[in-house]
Amino acid sequence: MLAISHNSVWLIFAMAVANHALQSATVVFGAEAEEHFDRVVAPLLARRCLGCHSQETAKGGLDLSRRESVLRGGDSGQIYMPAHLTESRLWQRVVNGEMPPEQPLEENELMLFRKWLAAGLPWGSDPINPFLATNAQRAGYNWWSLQPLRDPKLPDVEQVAWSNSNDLDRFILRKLESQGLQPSPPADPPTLVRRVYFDLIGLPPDPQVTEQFTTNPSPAAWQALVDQLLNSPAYGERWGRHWLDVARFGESDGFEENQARPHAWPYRDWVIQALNDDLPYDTFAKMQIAGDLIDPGWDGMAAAGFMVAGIHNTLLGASDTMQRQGRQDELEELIGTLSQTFLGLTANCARCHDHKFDPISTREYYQLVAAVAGVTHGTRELAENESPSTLFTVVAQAAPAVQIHVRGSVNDLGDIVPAGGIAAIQDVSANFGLATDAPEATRRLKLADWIASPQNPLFLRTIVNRIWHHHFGNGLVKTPNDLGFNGGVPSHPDLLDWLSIQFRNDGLRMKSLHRRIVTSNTYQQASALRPEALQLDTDNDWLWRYSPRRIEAEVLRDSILQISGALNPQRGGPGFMDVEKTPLNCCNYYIPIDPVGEQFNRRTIYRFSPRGASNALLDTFDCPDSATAAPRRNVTTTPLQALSLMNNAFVIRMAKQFSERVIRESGENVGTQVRYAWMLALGRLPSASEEKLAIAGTRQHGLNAVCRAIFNANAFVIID
Amino acid sequence: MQRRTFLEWTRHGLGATALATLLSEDRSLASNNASSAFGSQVRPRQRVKRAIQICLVGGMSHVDTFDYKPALSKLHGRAVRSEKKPEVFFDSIGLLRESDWTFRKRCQSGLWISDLFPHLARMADDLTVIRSMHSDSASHTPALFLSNSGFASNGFPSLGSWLSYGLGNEADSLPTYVVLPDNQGTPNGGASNWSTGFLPARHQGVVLKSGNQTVPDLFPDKSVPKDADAFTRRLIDLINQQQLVDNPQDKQLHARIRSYELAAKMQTSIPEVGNLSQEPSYIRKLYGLDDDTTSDGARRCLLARRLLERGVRFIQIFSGGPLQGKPRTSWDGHESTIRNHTNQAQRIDRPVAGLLQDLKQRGLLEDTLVLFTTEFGRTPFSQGSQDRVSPGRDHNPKGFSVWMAGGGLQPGIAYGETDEIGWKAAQNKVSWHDFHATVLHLFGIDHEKMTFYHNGIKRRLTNVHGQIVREILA
Repeated sequence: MLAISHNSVWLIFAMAVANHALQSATVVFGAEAEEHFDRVVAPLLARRCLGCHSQETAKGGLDLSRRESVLRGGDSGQIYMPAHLTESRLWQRVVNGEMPPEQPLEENELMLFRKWLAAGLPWGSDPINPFLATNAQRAGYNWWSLQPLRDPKLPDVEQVAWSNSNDLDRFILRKLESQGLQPSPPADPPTLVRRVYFDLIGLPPDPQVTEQFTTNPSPAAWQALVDQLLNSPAYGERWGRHWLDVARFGESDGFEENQARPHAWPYRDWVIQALNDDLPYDTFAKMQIAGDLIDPGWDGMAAAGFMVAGIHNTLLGASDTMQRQGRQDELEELIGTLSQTFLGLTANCARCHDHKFDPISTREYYQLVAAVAGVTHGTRELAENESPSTLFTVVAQAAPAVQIHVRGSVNDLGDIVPAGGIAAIQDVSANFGLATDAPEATRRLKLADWIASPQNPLFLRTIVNRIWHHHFGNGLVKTPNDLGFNGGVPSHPDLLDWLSIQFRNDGLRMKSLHRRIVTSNTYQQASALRPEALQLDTDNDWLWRYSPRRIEAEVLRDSILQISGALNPQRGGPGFMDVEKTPLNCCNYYIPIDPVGEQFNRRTIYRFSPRGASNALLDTFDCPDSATAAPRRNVTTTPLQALSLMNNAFVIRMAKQFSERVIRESGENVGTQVRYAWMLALGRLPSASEEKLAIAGTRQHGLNAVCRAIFNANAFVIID
Repeated sequence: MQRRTFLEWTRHGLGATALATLLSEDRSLASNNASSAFGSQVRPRQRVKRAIQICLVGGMSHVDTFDYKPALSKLHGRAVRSEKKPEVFFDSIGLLRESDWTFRKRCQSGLWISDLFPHLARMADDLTVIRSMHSDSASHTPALFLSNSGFASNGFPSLGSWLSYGLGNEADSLPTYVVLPDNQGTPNGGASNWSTGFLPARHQGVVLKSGNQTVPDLFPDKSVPKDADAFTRRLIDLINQQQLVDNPQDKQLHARIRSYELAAKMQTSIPEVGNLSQEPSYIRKLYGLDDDTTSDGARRCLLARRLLERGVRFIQIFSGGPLQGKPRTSWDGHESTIRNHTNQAQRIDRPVAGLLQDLKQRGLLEDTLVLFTTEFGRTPFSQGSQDRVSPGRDHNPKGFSVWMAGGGLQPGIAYGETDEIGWKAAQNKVSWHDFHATVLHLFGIDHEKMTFYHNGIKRRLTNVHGQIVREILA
């Protein structure tokens, strides 16, 4: 609460300034006063008042965003009486600390407010731009994620030793120390090996690798292991899956016809290869936005598949309105994906009205639309290596002039707008300098340059946060597709910026960021629960331990295949089909089947993945349907999941293959078999009672009954 | 997930602690948003506890069923008067066509229902008909999605998933949301219709088929002997229990152990609920179980009653399979409304009427909601050349009828009106968002407060729309 004395000097001063007869809405105050209002007063009102008292949401009927409505007052009458300034309710409610509720104005704010009232409400831009400043209801231009990257000083810490090999640790440790938390000791070597294998390549380690590292767990050996994994082609398959989730990649159109896209896989392969090649992130992004223009061969065409990877309604009604409506829906899907994927912003929300929560105007939304207005779904033929090849990608059309659709209506068109960006993002210019009739290619290339500029703070923060999210299960911001007002706030804002700058200095190479993260002490902490820390930080927001994670559906399936010795390493090309496509006139259904054979034992990323095709094992382990982006997967534990992992025909078949492999490689001794099975699947030896029961069971029911149980062990599906 | 608020809304059935544990590790991010919306204020008065939706695939002609339009008979053979060309799917607009069925005032309420539904007509006093529905899409799949999830595209949770999310389960060994597709086949859009979208997987609709594997992976195949199966379970339990000794506070592990216990229960309860042989013969007759035309609908309606008696929250019965086909296998009378609607209606008329009567005689209708929905209606003008009265009707999203029955409603009334010929909703228009808001309200859920954060938006079943239709409430 503020302690404001009514006879303080400034108040008397203000009273003296207060003059009479200022009821007119059309008073001219002069350029200087207007400028002062826009620069100083309007941001104050936007920050502190307009969250509740502006046009659409005016509480109590009081709209403080326009001068005229301030003078008019709210539902309960006038609030501003210049002749009786101190009795005016506008002043009373504020000075008494009732408004804004909970957080009254600071003294300097109050001073400013009082002077402004006393001067007779000099005004500038009317209404006040609601984007001017962040308030309790929405983000303004000063929202954290839109600001330029800061280069924070390395924080001072007490336990220097814990954090002197990797500066990343200093940021984590600083927060832990300030919260009264201690970091956890390092996890034991077998746990670390298992963790980093699943994390970087999505597959379990061979027992020999674990053993080797356990005998010599030196930092150099860890570095070598990490490098080896990052150089493995399996890295791209693991991290490519993460990216495909964000890119909402699926291999059918969705909606009614749900036509298969048999030529969509080149995009999936391009992503995997680009990650394995450690393509700089700006190139990685630009190629996906405009690869067909930048490099009109196989690579560029495949990369541009990103633009059309989402659902597509191919059966619109015959009328003109329905056709145009359908096209606008497609564009919204595209703008939503582009802005969420690369910028962590939900620009799609500005289609019908200015964004309710972030400073993105409808005009800007249509500027983005103008930049991609020539993008359509289709297939293209390329003569590659003398044989023609087909891929599903962008088919660029001449881009039309784009008009603002008032309230999103295709029948209420406003200004024509040129291609452009979002002005609120700092350090990059939203003005592309283009005419409204600029060619399609120019528009889209400009968009790619604006989005994927190394100067674009959101572009960097978003990817760094995504990568952190996949390493730790939570991002520094917990909503990887939304760094706007509705998203989370960063737990370690300095670290996020510091990492973004390091990432840029490292040439935007994702592998260098992985290396920086997994070689940190933060990453290598044990996962064991410590009661005293749990009490202070239940959700492990400050990273006092490594949070155990359940493996994703695809990793589960891939690991089962690998452990069973059945994984077919074939990379790339058309996916394997574990669904039966049933066309029925216009529509297509994808019925799950359980085909047996080596060609179906490839990694799950190579599974043909039409929309609406259910697969009991993958579905129950929260594999998303790819109708929308899944930047963060749900993790659930349900009885149906248990049933699938126990009874799915694939699991039962693999349990048998697993047991055959164990017998083949470990010999006739049942005890050896059991121990070997444990090592392969869980990276540890069985306990005495486990071994006893497993041996008895093997003798009675065969080793496959044991292998089936191992697949169902909590320790098999959890990385700790 | 906040444990306290969660416990407040699972008072029944399943050991609340067990489910709370299952839920506690759903890192739906949401302690700060998604579920904190749930508190006692969300469910001030819960009128119904469970619902059955009869979901008609295709568009049922309202002017041939529940929306009596005498003017259409007078105008039969005339051209529709309109400033703009009507927007219909096939863009071929024929002359106006009168109803192919006779309408009669039914029962005490005097509701107008046509002869297409003779059995349902006898339940008129229990129906609350809404005759002023309108939708945003004239295409089947988006329209079906709209009716289920409020959104025209794939990827949004349907009503059943939202109810599961909002209310949890009353049964510990059955799914919360069960789907019973027509044996003619899967509806257009397939599993996307009962997808959990961005909600956690447990809210997904679970299809119960007839036969042995009613649920995928309910039992292992024959290659696994019973005693080996039992051994495997023992070993799973041993491995997990041992881990628990070292990690007594590991909630995730507790949840996994519990999920295996519930799985075992499901293996008993699902076959039990599907065993209709226990039902007496008068019940079989009531639903039409032994008649070839009605047996599929009867089986599913009866199963639905048994499921909800055992605590299942939401059951979706589809009427109509895939689009098109010859003859068409859904409610889609483009070529001939008489032929198409006769075929479809006779498969469900008696089973649905039987279900209503059965629920009523058991006292279940008081806190159960029965919903009867369609993607859209059909045009009062025929589909074909502009100088003819053709036998079929095109899609009409601008006006159509649905009905509800059960707790919290005023029975035996019709709400809202279409225009004189039944083309466009004219009075007291009701959108799907309004419909969903009303259904949630009957469950005691504030549709504006039940949210789930996804990609930048606190998503709702009703998006940013939805007005409760208070006039139909008791």
